[in-house]
Amino acid sequence: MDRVCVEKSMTDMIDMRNVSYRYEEDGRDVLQNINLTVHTGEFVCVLGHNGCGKSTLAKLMNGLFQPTAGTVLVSGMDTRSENDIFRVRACAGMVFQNPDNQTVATVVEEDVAFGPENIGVPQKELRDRVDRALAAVGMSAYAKKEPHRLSGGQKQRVAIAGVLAMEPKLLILDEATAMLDPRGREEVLSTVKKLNREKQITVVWITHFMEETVEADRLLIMDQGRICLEGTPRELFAHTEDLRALKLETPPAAQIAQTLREHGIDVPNDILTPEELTDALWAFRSKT
Amino acid sequence: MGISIQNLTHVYHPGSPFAVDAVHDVDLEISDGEYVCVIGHTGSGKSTLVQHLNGLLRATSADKMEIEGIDLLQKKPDWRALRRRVGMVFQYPEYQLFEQTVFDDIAFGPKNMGVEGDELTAAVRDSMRLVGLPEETEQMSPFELSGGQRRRAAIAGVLSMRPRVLVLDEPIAGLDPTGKQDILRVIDAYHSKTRATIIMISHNMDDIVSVAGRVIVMHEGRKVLDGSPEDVFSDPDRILALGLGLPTVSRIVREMNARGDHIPASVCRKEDLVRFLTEGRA
Repeated sequence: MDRVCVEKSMTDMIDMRNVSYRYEEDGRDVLQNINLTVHTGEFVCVLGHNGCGKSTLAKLMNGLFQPTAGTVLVSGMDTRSENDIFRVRACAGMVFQNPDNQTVATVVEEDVAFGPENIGVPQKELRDRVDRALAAVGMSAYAKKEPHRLSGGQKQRVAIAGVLAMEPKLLILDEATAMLDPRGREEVLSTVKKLNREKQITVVWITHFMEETVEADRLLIMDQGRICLEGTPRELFAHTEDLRALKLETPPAAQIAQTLREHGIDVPNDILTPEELTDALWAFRSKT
Repeated sequence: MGISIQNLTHVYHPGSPFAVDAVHDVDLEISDGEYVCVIGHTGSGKSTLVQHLNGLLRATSADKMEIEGIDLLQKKPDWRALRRRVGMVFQYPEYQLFEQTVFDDIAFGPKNMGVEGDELTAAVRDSMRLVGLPEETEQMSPFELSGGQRRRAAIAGVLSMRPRVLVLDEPIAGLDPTGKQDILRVIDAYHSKTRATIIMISHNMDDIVSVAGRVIVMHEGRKVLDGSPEDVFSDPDRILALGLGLPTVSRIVREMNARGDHIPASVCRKEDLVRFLTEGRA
């Protein structure tokens, strides 16, 4: 069968040009004139307060919504093209917040097989794809289990496997860790980072947890339907005041570092992770 | 009056092949006005445990179940009184808003309990003030509110009953940082204003150490740790072995100590860390 994603002589995974979106014809634009390019292999995080348009943006990225104005190209395919829409969705896999709403079968491997079976992947290849997808998320041992008996983190990894079995080039995760406990969050984040690193799958990661974004290639911050700030985590998290105005904050380690500095403890002002803060404190303690 | 529970066990689908021992032999004494956080990974039994507090679930077996002066083991406990005294805020409570207006939604509980007229209006407006909903939202549809406002409206609906015990199951899940802080402030305001008992399930360890006076850790249906945040997090390896996360400060302290430093493991908040580093004491 044809490769699900059409290879084009371009390296952009997502190309949004002058994109606006409104839910009702006479309603207001919930997304306004978005111009965004996501490069193949990139790990992009999207931040923004509740209601800023993050989820709408995500749904435009795999053709669940079509733009009211402008164009969205996914791997070179226009999401408004009826001929391409199924290829767009196979190419851009999406994982949502609630693990319980994303399960369709009563056995893990059947759940993972659901997508590819639907697009007519032959039996032998199907077996292969399911096995590879479960291995990629570290869930092979659970292939015959019932999804409802898994933990939240495990369910989300099965949901990701279901998407991987479609052999996507792009993973869009819309607050996929919001309902998980700390271990579940860690499982899902490290799984997705690994897929990005080892399989060069492009990732769009939407979250309210600042600490999940510190290793991203790029952060996008949204407000009122626009992308209002864009840069590397270190660039953006330096703007504490701007973040607060946007109802966001710096990651926990950065907040601790700032409090320490306010009390005269000399640690650098660009700390983002607990590891960096530990190194800085270790240096501080060795001096004093 | 508080909460006094002895040997609470809850089995889902008892006697069937699907029987699940969700809570096992839990003793729990909570005094009036405590602020308790319950933690544990998915499936540890924490939600099952707290759902006994307002009679949503009944114990499969228990030696004592006294909640705010009501004995739940007697033949016909006064459920109405119990539910008036113990308010429950579920996960994603904004999905349970159903009335035409914000006012009616918040009024639903007290109205059911027979409160009417000016008293009802006062109860609703007080609750709206407590959660920081502007008065002009009163006649709006809940669906016109923002995500964070909807969550606060849902919490106002529970606070309008003036519960003496407020139980919240992950009240900040899915909110942006500001929305999260707003909710924590609302809970704190209700706690300090009414001296109600707060019992909150949360996964966010950094928030827990800053708000809770006491932390209860559930694991495989049992209560495995119970104490002040300093006590509970002073054994970080145990917490990690239970599949839980550490507060960011505890993570850093643990790593520093692994490298040879000697910071007391009870240092779990940023204020503690500042004090230790500047004054040399925990």
